[in-house]
Amino acid sequence: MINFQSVSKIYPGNITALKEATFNIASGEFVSIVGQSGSGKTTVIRLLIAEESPSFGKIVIGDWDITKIHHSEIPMLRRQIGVIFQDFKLLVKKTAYENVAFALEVSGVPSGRIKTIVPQVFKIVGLEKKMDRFPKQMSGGEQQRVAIARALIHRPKILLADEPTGNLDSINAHEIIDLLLKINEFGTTVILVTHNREIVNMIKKRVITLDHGHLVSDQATGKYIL
Amino acid sequence: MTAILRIIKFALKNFWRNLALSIVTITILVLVLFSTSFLLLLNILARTATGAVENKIDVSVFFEERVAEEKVLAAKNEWEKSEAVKSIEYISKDQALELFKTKHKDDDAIKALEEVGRNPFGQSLVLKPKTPDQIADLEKLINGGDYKSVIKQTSLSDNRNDLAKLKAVTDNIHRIGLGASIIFVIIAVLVIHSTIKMTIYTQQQEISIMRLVGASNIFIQGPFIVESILYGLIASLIAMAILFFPLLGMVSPFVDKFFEGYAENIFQSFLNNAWLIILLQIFLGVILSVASSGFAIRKHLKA
Repeated sequence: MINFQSVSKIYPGNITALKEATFNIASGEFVSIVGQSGSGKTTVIRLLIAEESPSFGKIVIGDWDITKIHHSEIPMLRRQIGVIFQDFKLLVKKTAYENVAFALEVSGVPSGRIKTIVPQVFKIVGLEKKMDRFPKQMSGGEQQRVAIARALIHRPKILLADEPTGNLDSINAHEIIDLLLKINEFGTTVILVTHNREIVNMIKKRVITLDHGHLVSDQATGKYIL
Repeated sequence: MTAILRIIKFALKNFWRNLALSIVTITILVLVLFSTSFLLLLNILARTATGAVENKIDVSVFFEERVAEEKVLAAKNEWEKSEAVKSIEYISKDQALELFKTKHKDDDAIKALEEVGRNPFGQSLVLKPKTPDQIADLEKLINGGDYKSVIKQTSLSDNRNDLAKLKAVTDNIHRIGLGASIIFVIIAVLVIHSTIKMTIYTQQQEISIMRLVGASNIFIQGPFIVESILYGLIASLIAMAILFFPLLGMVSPFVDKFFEGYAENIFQSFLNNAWLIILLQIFLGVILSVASSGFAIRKHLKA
């Protein structure tokens, strides 16, 4: 499904964010990518959504070599990869429903279809009764659920979660991880980027460890080792 | 269709959110459109006026009464071959009499004519030069040929001084108008560029989310382009309204006095050329606006 082949990313000033990383992620896997700040975790996410292109190496998603992706193809790629972030990235002036619907609106989906799909996704994340609330009227956990609903709206094959529990207390953090595991059970490949030891150890799934841009460990049922 | 409607919706939202900036942008655009349209109108008027003055420059040649028509027509044929002649109009004795009667129908001169009891007028030719400066060549042609002995008198209608003054004034207006238009165009380009840049800046978060969720470029850039088209359209409507009623109403009497007798009324000129002016305004407004914003979009909204 996802294939990194000796991928390096070097930023101007000769700053190496990722050094010859090679790994495969199969369809339907749940993989945690762990490491300390500056280890290259977020670079992996940015490379996967074509926000950055690798300096060396090749990245293949499905049959699609995204290393030399044309900018007109990027929207299509991003509709197949849902992303959630630590800071939720919700529009504060829009309700939860509008935030999720916005993702479909800007993709040219007809209004009738939006009205059908959005409530279904809210049901998956357990917020069907809070769709009309504004982000400020919701807890951090609920906001992250809205972000997950938005990430799932295009029915992506891959869900990238960049420190999704970073702004949450432990109860909400566990709820979000449970939701990600549930989404994974439905067949979506989930890549969780985190430096939360407790969360990684609790999941008991594959763990890829990065340190200063180097892939130092790839365990099938791993633990946070740094 | 859904996409187009949504892009328009987003554009209207942008317009409304940055209302103050939108108003400033439109105002500057109105100034550009107003000055260029007024300049165009004045050009049309000046061209009509100078044409009319040029047309009034001619030499009338009055022949002796006894001269045969063939001889006058022979003179006409010969003079028509000259490079300096644009046209020659032949006026027969009867036509001259009719012209006199029409001109003096309300005064005593008509009674004097009745007392004479016959047609006292001779035949005449009215020569128009190709260019106003060739009037001297016409005089030379008339006085230097074989027909000098049968010419009773010549009458020169020379408006060259008027023409020179008119041209000097319209040239100055043209120059000042062009200068003002260029300055306004530069200001407009800068203001529209900054407005769109500001709009992009205020919506950075929305734009980044649009990118994240896979919005195509047309959804990201389209609203800004539509917004700039809106600026152009609204500005051209306002400029047209200002030109049409208040300004033409106020300026029309002064301009008409200046061009009196030479060109049609400025308001009439405006009406006759309304479509041309509307199209020019919309074209200029939209092109200027889209080009300026396009520059900002290319720079700040790269895919």
